Amino acid sequence: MLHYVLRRVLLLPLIVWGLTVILFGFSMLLTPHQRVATYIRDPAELQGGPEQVERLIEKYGLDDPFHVQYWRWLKEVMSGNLGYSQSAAMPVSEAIRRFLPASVELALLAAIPTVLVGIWLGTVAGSNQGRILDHASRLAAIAGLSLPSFVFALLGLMVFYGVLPWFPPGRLGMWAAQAVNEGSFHRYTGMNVIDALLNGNLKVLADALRHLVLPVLTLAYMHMAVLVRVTRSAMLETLRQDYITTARSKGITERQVIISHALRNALLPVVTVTGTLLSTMVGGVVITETVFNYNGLGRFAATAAQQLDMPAVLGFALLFGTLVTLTNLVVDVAYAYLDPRVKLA
Amino acid sequence: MNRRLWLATVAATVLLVSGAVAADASIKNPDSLVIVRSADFVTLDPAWECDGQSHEIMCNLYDMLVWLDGVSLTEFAPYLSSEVPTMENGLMTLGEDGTLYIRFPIREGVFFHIVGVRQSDGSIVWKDYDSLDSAERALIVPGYGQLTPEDVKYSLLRALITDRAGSVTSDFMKLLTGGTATGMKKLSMKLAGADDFAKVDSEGLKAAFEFLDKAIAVDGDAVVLAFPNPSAASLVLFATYLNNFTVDREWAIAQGGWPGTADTWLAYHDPAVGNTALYQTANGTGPFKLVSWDRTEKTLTLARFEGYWKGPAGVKFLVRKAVPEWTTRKLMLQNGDADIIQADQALYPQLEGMEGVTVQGGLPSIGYQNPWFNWAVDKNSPAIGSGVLDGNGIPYDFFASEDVRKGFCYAFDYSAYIDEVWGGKATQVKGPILKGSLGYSDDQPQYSHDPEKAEGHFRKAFDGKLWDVGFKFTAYTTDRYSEGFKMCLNVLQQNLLAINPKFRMEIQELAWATFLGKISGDFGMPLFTMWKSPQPDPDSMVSHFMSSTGPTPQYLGAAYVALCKTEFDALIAQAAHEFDTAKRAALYDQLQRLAYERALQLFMIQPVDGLVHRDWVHGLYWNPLRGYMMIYWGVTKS
Repeated sequence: MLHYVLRRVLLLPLIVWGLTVILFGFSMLLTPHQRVATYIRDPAELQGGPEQVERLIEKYGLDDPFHVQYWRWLKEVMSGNLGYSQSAAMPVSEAIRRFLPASVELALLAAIPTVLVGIWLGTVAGSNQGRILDHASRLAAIAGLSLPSFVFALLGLMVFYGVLPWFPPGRLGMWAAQAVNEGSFHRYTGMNVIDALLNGNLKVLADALRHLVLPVLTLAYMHMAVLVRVTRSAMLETLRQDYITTARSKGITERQVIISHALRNALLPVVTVTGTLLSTMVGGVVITETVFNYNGLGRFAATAAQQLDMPAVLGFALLFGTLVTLTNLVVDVAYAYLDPRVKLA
Repeated sequence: MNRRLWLATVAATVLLVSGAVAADASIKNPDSLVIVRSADFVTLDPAWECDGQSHEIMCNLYDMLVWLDGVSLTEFAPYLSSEVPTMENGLMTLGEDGTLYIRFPIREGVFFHIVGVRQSDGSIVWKDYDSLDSAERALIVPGYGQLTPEDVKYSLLRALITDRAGSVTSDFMKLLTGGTATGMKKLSMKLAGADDFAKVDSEGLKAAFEFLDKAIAVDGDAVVLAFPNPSAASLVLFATYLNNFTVDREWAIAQGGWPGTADTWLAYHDPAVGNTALYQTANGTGPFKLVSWDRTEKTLTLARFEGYWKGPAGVKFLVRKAVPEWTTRKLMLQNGDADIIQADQALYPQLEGMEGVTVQGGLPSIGYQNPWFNWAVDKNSPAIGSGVLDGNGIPYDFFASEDVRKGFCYAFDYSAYIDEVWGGKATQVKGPILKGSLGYSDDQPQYSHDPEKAEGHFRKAFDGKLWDVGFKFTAYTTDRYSEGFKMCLNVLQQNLLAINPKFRMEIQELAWATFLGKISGDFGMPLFTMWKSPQPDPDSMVSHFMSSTGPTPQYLGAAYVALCKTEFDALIAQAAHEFDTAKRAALYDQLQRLAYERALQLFMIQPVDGLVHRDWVHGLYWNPLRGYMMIYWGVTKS
């Protein structure tokens, strides 16, 4: 297994490099006059006429050949500089460093109910096929899958902020943001919940949690629905196996049959899906972040892509590619652990 | 036991969270004015910015020499200059060679937010002015935080040498050079007699600096600007030039800014946005001072400057946030978490009637909203279809035909557009000169919706062929335009079809990058819209559309530029240099009528804008040129 893990880790730079070449290649399909949109975000900024555009193209080397531009970028990356993000108005590495904690915090808090409740509900549904519990959980899952996240998020915001002023958008209220920016509050992780705990500031903790309720619920509900469906299907498949019949015939309780015998095998496909869901939660929740004004990686990446901010897009791709590859590796290893029949080549 | 523990944890969390919920019906954040815009601003550097979002911040961190007085477009108020220069008070004089000298006596007793205080060991430490007691204030080093003419000169020069691509420093440069140069590199080339900047040596670079150094002079307690080849609008053009903010010279240099010397300007020229010393820091004389700029949360916090020369502002804090999602902004306003929000006019119906909210729509703004006729589209552009007049396309010079242009001008239903899209609140424009400006009069002709006249012109165009075969082309718009802006093309499309079903104008919305590629790369747009806000002087307005060197003609083809050269340039120059107001008005009237007679462009409306805010905000004002970029000094919450 160690050999397998090492090999996969060593392949990582190659995978990520390939990804950046593809992305860079796609961007080069746009003309320099299109790619200059990174530096002119709005018609109102086009005060200087065509000359302004030509000047920017020359300044940033946008009409240099592909290999020249790519090599220029790669050289910077190899010296630790991911470039400057026009859309975030800061260096790319700094932008990732700033936005990552927000996304990780949101993903972690959403992952807990997603995984626990999703697997539990799916297990319950699968082991009570045809009964009310099964129907109810399937209904909830279908609703979660078919309702667009944008609609769910906006509904949540309108009800729990617009009508009931309980859960406002953003990461912190004004007073809490001022408290956090004061010198006495030490930033350890960039995650408000953890930093508040480490600073012993319960008021900021409460405010941070209050702002997280809606985005966490939105994310959790959307992703939970997937896990419920996958777990249920896996449970149904597993419960039909002969060894389950054998286990029942031995006289052990149904609870033991499910937990000790069925669940472990049913979790195999669930682990795969969970890995994908978790990595998506970190970098791909643009809509949730936008509606709740939650400035995380997803929104940063979407804005960068929209504004053709290539250094930011490539920097994000580097990060996300690494994250997905590592997540897949963890999933593969978990697979081997759960199912001894699986041999890691 | 586990279940009890779980229930206890949930209950504690709910209590903790709900404890943070404030049931508050009174003014929220009473000490702070919270402004929520849809987009983030770009920089805190006054020499770099020229976007509206950043400019709103600058107006509150920094001061200008003079500025438009409240809601006026013609009257100025003194700020860092103790008087507004005029010919009458002798602060504006004409030299024998025709050079206009404008003298700005610098106001005394004005301090910057951060000042240099002499320490006991002789060193100078920069400190917050408000935090100093009287003893420490006595130790402020002269020139280190108290406004001097040298600070003003340095700031003006710094903006000129920064001269980033797309900045408005070209406006100021043209004033200083009599229109012969638009930027530092062009000035260097001109003085060195070079046709390429690469050929300019160090002496040439120095010469450019020395030219400006002489044109912006310190004379005692004043700064004197010299404008060769001045126009009657020179003061207005300078005073409304956007980068006219003053920083403390010594402080800026201490932050790593340009040292102020001739041999260093090139190193600080045209920097990238994040590469200027003052990108994320500020030290002005304005009513508010910088507290923090959280770029992750897109929140800027400014605090009241207690030492402001006009007296402290009405609110203690100014907080600006960027929230792109409209629903979120609306709910923040509704809940009182935002005092002022940005909203498109088309969204005002969602806000009208909202409790505790004031919606002031229909406020005039200086600007245009009209599609431009491109007189020479790229022949390979897919927008012109077949490229010939066969019913499936148009020739590349379709809009070079005056009959075609007049047909379009008569085809458009101005009243319906104004009523249905703008709620009846916009004003139809008669030409480049806007209502209220010198040279405008109500009896000037304007096009109206007249399908019969439109048909008459279309029948004459292309010897009658146009009417028989029809046309088809694509008009582009972009996702960066407001809905009201985009609707004008929809109205025009329907109007044309109603006149002749063979007149097909398709509308395609492009992503901004694609749109930009088309207008700047291959000019592949027969009819497109752009945005430009002129300065409040008719010279700026007519130059924009009718000068061969103006920004608009550069997009519209050689034939358009040639027309400008032959018919308008001389008249524009004559009007600009006419100091007699009545004569000047007559010349601009003539230009306005020429624009009408030639049907140069499809002038539609002067757009309106608005303010949306909570009722507890008082003291907001609306200047048509500045719009939301206002100085919040006089604003209070009660």
